[in-house]
Amino acid sequence: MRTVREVLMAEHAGMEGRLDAVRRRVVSERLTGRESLWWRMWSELVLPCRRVWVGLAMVWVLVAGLHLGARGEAVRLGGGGVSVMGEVEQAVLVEQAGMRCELLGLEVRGGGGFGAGESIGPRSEAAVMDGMNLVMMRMRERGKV
Amino acid sequence: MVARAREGEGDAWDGLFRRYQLPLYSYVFELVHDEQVALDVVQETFISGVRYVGQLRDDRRFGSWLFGIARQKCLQHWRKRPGRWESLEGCEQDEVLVGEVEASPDEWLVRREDEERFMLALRSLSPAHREVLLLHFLEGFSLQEIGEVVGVGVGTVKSRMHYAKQALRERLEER
Repeated sequence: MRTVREVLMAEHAGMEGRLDAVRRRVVSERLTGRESLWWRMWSELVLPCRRVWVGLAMVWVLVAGLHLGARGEAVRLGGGGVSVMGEVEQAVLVEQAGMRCELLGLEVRGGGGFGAGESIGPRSEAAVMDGMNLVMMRMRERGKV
Repeated sequence: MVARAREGEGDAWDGLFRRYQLPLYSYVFELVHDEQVALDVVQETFISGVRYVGQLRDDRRFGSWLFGIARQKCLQHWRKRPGRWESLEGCEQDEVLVGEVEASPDEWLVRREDEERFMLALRSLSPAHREVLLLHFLEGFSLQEIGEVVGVGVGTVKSRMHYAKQALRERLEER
């Protein structure tokens, strides 16, 4: 025969080890002056509502995953379109440069180049003309113009 | 030992917590029926005990004071998860009884072969009844101390104790 107290204590005796660990942790952290700010924040902010924090962390992981996935897709699509768009743009640029020369009354030298020295107007426009010359030279090298 | 603990002596706190850890855990577990929650409540109770020991007026009431903190922590857990837990409040038989003799917790003896049956019967009681019996059996608290832990008057504790023991006897006879 045992008292009810003995029966109850025997029922939960298996938890002694974990309770010892809890007791030691509280005594050492709280009473030996080793209670850090981090521990206080952890025990007061995180532990009481840890399910909420875990939920928030999972949401952030999900958001980060979706963001990285979307960025990878964008890079893949963007990377595939660079070369095609570049050629089209170059053709348009050459066409525009030719029209610009006609408008400004400049002479297109030997296959479409522009002389920087023949340009009129501000030097910034001369720099644009140099750029156009460069583009035209590259296009000629590729045999497109 | 409580006086030494008030001074911040780690050994005194260690001794006090060692003395109360298992009864406290048993009490909390029998209310919440969840190992991890019960361990968390015990830890939070210890932390609050160290922090608020200055508010304890009578050192001899340290035990009931600590159980009172644990009960508050249980209620906080209940409030966080409404509907998942049973309520400790609202006992239908809370009329006040007077004149009943306070019996010793050791008057109840359980045969080895009946222990499992006893635990099942105890767990089938309403939380309000189970709670006063646990406090009575585990620590042998007086009606006054149980009233302080539970937050009701002595008459209500007497009433709950009376009906709880009656219900426990009936369930033990049924099984």
